[in-house]
Amino acid sequence: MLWRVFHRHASTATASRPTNFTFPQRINRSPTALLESLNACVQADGGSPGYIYVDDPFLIPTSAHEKRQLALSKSSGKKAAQWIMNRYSYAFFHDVAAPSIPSYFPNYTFDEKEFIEPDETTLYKLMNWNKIIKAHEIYKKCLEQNTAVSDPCKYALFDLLCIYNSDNPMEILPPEEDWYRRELNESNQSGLAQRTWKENGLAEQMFEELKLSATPEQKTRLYNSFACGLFKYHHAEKAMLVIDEMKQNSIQLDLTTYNYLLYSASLIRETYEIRWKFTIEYLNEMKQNLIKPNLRTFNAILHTLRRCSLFERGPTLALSVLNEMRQNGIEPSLGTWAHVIMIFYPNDHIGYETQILPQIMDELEKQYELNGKNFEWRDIDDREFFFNAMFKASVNCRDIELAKRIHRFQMNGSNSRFIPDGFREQMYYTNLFRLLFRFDIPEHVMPLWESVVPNIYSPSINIIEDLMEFISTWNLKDNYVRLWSDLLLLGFIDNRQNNRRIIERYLKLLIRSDQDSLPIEQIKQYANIGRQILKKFPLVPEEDEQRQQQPEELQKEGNEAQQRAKQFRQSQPKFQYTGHILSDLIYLLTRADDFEASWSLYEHYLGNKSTLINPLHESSLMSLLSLSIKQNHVDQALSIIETINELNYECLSNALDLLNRHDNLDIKDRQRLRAIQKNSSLESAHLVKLV
Amino acid sequence: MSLLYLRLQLTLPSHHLLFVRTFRQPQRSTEPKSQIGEFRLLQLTKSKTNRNGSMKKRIRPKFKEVPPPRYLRMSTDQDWTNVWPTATTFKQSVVPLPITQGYVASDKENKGLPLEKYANAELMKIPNFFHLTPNHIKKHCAAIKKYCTPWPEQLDSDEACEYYLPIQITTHDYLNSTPSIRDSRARVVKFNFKLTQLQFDEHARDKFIRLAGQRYNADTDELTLVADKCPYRKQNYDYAQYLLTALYFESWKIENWEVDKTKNDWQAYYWDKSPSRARLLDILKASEQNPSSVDSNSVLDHNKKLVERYRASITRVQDEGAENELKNLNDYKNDVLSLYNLKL
Repeated sequence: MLWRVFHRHASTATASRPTNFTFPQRINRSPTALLESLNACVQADGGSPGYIYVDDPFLIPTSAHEKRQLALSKSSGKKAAQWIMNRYSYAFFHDVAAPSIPSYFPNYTFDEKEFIEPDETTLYKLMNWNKIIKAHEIYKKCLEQNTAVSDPCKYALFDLLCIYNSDNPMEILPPEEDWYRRELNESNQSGLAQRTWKENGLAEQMFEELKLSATPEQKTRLYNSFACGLFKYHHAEKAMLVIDEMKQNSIQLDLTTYNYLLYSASLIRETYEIRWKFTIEYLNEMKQNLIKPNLRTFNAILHTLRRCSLFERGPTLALSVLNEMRQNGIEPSLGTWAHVIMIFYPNDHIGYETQILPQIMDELEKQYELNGKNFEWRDIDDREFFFNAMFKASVNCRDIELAKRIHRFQMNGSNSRFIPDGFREQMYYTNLFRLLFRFDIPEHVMPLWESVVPNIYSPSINIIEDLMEFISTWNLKDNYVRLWSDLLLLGFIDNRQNNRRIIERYLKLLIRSDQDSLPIEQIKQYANIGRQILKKFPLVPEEDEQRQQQPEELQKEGNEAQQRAKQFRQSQPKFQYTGHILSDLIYLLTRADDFEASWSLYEHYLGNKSTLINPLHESSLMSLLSLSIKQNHVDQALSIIETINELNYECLSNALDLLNRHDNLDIKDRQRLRAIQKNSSLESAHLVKLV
Repeated sequence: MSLLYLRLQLTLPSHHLLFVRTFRQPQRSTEPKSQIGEFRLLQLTKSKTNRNGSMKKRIRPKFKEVPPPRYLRMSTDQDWTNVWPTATTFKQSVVPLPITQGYVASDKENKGLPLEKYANAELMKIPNFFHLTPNHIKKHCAAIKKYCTPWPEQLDSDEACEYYLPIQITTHDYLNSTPSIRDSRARVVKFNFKLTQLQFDEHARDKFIRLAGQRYNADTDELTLVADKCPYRKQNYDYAQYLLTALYFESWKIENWEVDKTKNDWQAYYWDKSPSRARLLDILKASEQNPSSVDSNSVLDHNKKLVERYRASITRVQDEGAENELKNLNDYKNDVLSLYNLKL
């Protein structure tokens, strides 16, 4: 009506224009499509911490332990808030959000009054609030009271009972906790198919009950749901009985049931050939019943093939399955490729010749470009891809280029979300760096290492040891100091037993590099590292000092809290210095002409000689001696020579010679020197002529 | 020593008080304290003389090793769009630029020196545009280009736009970081179009403008309708459409009272309806040889040029104000003289 009002021929200037004008068609998009595509153009940046952490140097967690602690505390806080909200639900009624967000509100608490005269709405409400068992109870009550319950409601309840194994569904973990689920939930770690189906549970009861009154269409739904539930909780034998019953009563299986059936084929049939025959049989049946397979069907077949490890026909069959997929117009998902990889590389030695992994990567990269640089979750098995691919690339192929290619692909866009949990990520990076440290050159490895550590990946102790090995083999002197700060940040310098090994190895590195002449700056830096170690792990623990100073009376009256703290302290392992570490530290400090510090270390050694493991080294004693002579500490020098004598080191002759040449010796000192020489059991020592 | 001394001086009322908490945690104990008669003494805070025992040493918090700021480890050829993908508060540890804001005001310190980014709260308060560098924009445009359609070829100039898309409808969407996505301002709908886009006769146009009142802008010949009375945008949109339609068709109607319009009600001088024309006709007819045989049109046709000029000048004299009065009157005089062939 309105548009007829406007006339387009009024103005003479535009009279010549053609009248038809077509608006361009709006390209349809979801409400969040723009945000999603903007998100996809951000690449992972190894420099920034994960989104759940605060981006501030003081608050960024670096070690795996800290990350875990922070993430779990965060999720714990959320849970606590949820708990308070559910506990005091009457206080949380103020709704500022529009549209309202139900998950920000307390759960609905059912009143017993509602159950006095239940009806269908009560049942639906219970089901919506995930109270499946209660819903079944109320359903029974309805039957007793002769309240009419409609068939759709009954079947919805039955479906839920099958899906959740006659139990209330488990609560969904917050995402932070979900990342660590493998460490947190002890059950079913192995991933083996355990039978968890509840025998004679509510689902079975309801099945028997509904079976009697079902119409043919309802029967189809009833049997299919039941069979799916049985397969889902790995009760294959019973499921097969149900399927036989279905065949006898000529009830058709639906796609989901077929998928479960194919997925569980390895549980149903024993030998590989028979399993495959079984699969083919059911695929033919699907074809007869005109049921079109989907991605899940093919992934289920490949899963079954994968469970036939070392089956000679496995790879060829897998390829034919892939072909069949293409013919059906179904694009393989990451999960499909994950299965294919495992079929082609059934153990750690087979499969290198097939070169299937590089081909898969070619295929995937092509597909990624075609998909507009974005992969979607299409199947639950997609989560296994990166883990499997990296595992096989590093163990079977040992191909650094391939591993790096997989890693590059993983870092692209939001592909990293296909690594679903902390454990798989840890294994992924362990495999990657194991391989690279063994076969690659530092110019390639170190940038990759720095792009990932510590924000994306916090290495485990084994990988850190591999890194130190790598650095020492290639003698990367520039990385020594950097390595120290990394060790500190990644939490490897603390009281734990294993970490003493790390410190020992690190000091070995520093000492070893000392062989050639070093610039003074570096010597000073190394000495500083030594001092840091000493500061972090004092030779005499602080508490002991305090306790000695306090009067006894006061100590007695320590209250419970103090005692608990003391117990806690005692239960924690103390850092134990060994002769190796002490001598390395002495060596580092004497190189930087720090006599005070190194002498105190030496004194510590003398004081705890009986308890310390390993004596001091020759080289560190010698360098301490030369420093003390240089700085004119004659008494100390004599004491050092006595120690050298005690330890029977070959260098005694050199030591005697060194001190002998010193001018400031008085008669007493010379006598002591002679006494040492006389007591020495080394021949070479007697050759030195003392003045 | 002093603590021990104090303790010796004390007469301790009960055994419990031996282990009082330190004064750092003032807490009202629920146990009965010293009593006088049957009443307990009210002790809001612990009396100072009761302080004994060693003061609990405050545990020094253990700080973890703090990594150096991130910008030190950034390479010079990094992709900034990944480091700073979205709008966030300024972070000194991330921005690798020597940015300063403000200056030291204190005389005792370095007065007048600029403050660096570290611990500079001012930098956090102001909005920054690190997330909108040219590279960001390029990247974002490339990412959402797939949702854009090409510009229609027909719309090659402003006139063409006006021609094909005669009306402009303006609405606003508001985006805030609040729990609610609603904003009452979003309901307003604005219609905007040029009056030349509508078909009018003189009366209808005049009536339309009069009905529109202030909504019509005579300078640009534009009409603006704003609808905001209803709570929702759709309702306002419908209302504005209704308003426009009603206005248009109303302006074409001629009511009975409009016929009663006299010369005094004219908004402009219409010479064709004025007595001036009738008188001119009389004069012209009289000047013809055969006054009864000629009709008014042919008389006007005879002197077409002069009549037109006369008409224009008299309209000007009537319509225009005092601005060009002298000139207009002069023109009028000249035209009258030439029309009647008079000479002064």
